[in-house]
Amino acid sequence: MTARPPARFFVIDAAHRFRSPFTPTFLSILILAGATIAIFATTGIALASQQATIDRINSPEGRLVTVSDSEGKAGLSSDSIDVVASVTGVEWAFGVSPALDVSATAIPGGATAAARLVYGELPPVIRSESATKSMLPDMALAGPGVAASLGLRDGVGAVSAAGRSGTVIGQFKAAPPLEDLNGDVLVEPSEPGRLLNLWVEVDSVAHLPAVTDALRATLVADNPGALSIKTSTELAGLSTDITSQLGRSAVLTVSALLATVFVLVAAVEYARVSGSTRDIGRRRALGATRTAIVLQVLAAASLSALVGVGTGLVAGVVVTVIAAHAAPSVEFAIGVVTLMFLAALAGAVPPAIRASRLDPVKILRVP
Amino acid sequence: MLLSVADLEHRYSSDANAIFRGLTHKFEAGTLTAVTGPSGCGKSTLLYVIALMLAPSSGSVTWDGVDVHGLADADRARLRARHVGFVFQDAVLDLSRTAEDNVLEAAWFAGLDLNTARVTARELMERFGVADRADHRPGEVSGGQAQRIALCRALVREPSIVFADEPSGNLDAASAEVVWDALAEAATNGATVIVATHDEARATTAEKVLRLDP
Repeated sequence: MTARPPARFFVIDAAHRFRSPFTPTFLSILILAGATIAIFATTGIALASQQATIDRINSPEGRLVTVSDSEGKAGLSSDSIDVVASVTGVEWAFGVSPALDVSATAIPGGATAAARLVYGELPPVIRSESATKSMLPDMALAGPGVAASLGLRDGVGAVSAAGRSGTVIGQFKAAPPLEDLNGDVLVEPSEPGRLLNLWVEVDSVAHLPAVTDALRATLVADNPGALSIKTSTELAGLSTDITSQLGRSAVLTVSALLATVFVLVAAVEYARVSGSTRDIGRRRALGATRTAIVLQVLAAASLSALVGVGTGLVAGVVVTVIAAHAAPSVEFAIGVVTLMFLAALAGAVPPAIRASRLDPVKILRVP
Repeated sequence: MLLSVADLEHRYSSDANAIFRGLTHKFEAGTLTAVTGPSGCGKSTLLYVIALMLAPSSGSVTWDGVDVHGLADADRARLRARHVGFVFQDAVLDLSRTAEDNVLEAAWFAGLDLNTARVTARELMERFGVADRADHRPGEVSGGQAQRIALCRALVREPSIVFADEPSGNLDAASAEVVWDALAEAATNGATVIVATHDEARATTAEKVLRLDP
């Protein structure tokens, strides 16, 4: 015999205290559910909305760095592609030469189109069923409708310009941010050359400033000072601002609600303890240790808190989905539920300690 | 179990009158001792002191020779759970639970096997005429029945010590008879039974009487 109640006693007792008296239980559930919903309705909705904004900022356009040698004075080498591609945070790097006018070889004096030598693998935003990694030098892809405007039957055929020739083997279509290339013919070069534009896509808008700095240090050019580097650093700054402002606002809101839960649950549990001093005194007389009394109070408070937080979680997710058209993240939901439960449990500790310190003799003696 | 107090004295506050004033006494196993005396002499207080719920201002309390008030609170609580049955002046039942659950509450804290305790509880409730009230809550039974339920709770863990504080003070004669008979039987079965009572007539039926001075 251990003279110690088993764990299931506390579970059974908590289930019993959940029903009787029900007023403190109901108040606890109301407090926890209300506070949980409040967090979802404030921080949760803000998080979901601002995450959507950050996702938009983090689009391919927002993550693009454009390096230009528009006046042709910088001597930007195509060797820069390999160097830039190895920088941490770079998703892809792709460059084009200045344009040459090409026409169909079989139609002397025919229509012309701008042809550019391309360096680096075609980025994901340029799609072509004909392009493969094994495209041979002087093979070319034409933008949508370009082959037809050149007079190439079936969209394929030889093109030439200034004593150079190539073969259009198919079509490509460029999506933003490189959609300006759709009017061109892209030609696989046979040797390194000079770049007019170099586009670098980073994996996150937050990496833009660091990658831009790295580019300035690593680009291979005769006169790097003549290069123009354009980037959406404002977007990167905005993303950082949103994240940090959201962080500050969330911490304040959640802290205030946790403190409120702590105080209100403490008050409710104090009332519950005050209303059951006879039971506590009797149990002490029957052999309950102070620890057993503390556990009984905490177990009863935990059950109410679990029901309250669970109710608040379901209602909070529904509110967020309706208001922000996006569900809060699982991590956020788990964090809120855990913090709320712990705040309620912490709030129940002072009343539990008070209950364990009650003097059974003062309670049970009949004057 | 042999219980003894020596040079016992207690004050509820520093400016309160002392009670017991050096009381020394032995309570033997298998004996029902009635503690009597005028109001305020400390009958109930003596029970609470020996039951380890109240520390005396001075003097010692021993259980089988062990100075039990020197133990930690948790150890004293476990001793109560394991060895003591207590019948209070009013039943002090949990109003939200059934009579049977009230009886079994004592078994939980003693760490008894609940199935075994339930059988014992039903036997006791049958014996004391409250078996048909097993599923009723205390608000649905009479005062006499409530005290019999409290008696079942005190005896369910077959304690070696039974304290009763004015157990028949609020009862009709028939119920009082049942309670006193049960306490006497517990003593016959080997328990140390100490009953605080102001009922001199009842006290004289006890094997031993301890009279406290005012």
